[in-house]
Amino acid sequence: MIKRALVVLTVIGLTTSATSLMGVPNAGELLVGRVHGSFQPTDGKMFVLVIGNDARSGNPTRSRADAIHIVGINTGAMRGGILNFPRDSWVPIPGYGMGRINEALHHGGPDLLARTLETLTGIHLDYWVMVGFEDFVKIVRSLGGVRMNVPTAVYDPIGSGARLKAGTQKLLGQQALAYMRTRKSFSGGDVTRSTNHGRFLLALLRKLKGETARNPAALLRWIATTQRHARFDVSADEMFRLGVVATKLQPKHVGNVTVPVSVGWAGAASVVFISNDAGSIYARFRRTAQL
Amino acid sequence: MSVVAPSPRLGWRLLPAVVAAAAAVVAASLAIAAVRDHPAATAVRRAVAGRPVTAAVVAKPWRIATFSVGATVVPERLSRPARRRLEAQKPRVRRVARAVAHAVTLAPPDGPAGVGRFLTAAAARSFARTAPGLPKNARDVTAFDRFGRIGLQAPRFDTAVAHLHVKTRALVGERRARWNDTVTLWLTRRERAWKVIAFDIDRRPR
Repeated sequence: MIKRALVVLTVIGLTTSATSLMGVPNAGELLVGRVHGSFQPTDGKMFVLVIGNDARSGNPTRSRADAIHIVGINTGAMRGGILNFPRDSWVPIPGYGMGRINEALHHGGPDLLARTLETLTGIHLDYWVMVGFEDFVKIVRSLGGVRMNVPTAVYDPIGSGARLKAGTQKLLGQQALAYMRTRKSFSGGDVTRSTNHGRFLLALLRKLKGETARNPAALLRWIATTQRHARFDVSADEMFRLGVVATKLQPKHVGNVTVPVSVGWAGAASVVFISNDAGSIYARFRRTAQL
Repeated sequence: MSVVAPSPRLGWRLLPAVVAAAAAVVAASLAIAAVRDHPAATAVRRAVAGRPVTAAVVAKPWRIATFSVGATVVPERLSRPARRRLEAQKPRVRRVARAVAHAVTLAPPDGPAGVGRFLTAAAARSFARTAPGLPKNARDVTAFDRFGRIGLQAPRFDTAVAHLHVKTRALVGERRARWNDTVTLWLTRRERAWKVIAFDIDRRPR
């Protein structure tokens, strides 16, 4: 019964964009915005672009994206999917020709990155969420860490500083960031890292589910924690509705898929080329918001 | 020719019976009205198509704790205006949560319209479609314990989550049944009115 009640995420007349955020955001800050002027849910589907940037100082909307994911939610079926894009994916960037996908953020902020992904996949994105190193650590710490399964041991003392055993464990702020950043300790490099980001998002969803199952008001604590570290381009009411949707999603019904790629070169640059097989994944995701 | 006319003495003899019958009708209607209007006892008419059920429900008063959640959870640390807002919203959100939870668990008196004003359009549609409430043919219904918690988001207090429990026993057909309902309500306040944007109900037999 909840499903139908959640299908309607009402349109609140917000017509602002990233540029309307008051002042220049700080590096590492969590930013939430709309991709388009008004939210038009399509047949109970919703797509959110999740971006992790590498900004250490300055304006994060002009940094590079290390983590790029489209999270789809089918609010009718209460199922979803996370589609991960390696940051070195070689794609057409509207107005800038071919380039690495992470450069889109540098050229035109989250809006251009969203447009790039919309052009690539044909998926109509509704929201974007962007977080940097600093607030990622703060948020994970405020939430008391995230318990997740690390499939293989990670030892990357020089790069990200990650030193983790394999198995289920609670990742606190810095550990979680290190795990999110590490790629050199995996044979799959950036592709494995992208998949790990998806795993982390699912672990976060599992934690939210667990806490709200015991005490539904925990959702309000999560929203408060997020608000403390975030600038919202959406109303508090809308955030609440999105939070309610998240609490009703079962992590086991949310797929985690990284686009199939092959490693190659574009001139002197090492890049990854997205396989043609990705087309069918985009089509399915676009149609059902599930993976 | 004979005309059988009622004897005037017969009319006088029937008067006490007529008065007694009239008194009984008045008393019955007063009793029904009392049952219907009493806050702790509701006449529930199930108007779901194909399932007309009438059951008198005796329900214990609610025990609901209402508190602030979020950035500042300790009321003493709230600013004075925020504390005033919290105190002003507590009874309002409780009233809406009580009414909707009652309707969800013990069937609405007039279908969803009874609590329609407390639901958003989507929630009202869901309410009407799923037709929650009492089991079919339930009678002698007693909601013998009703309690819960409502968290209001500080410092604006315009969103809330209610988690309410209703323990019920009733005769369903010839069988005595007991069950627990757990109702979760997500509420927002807009234009000075609290509305339920979504709800969830978990019913388990005891």
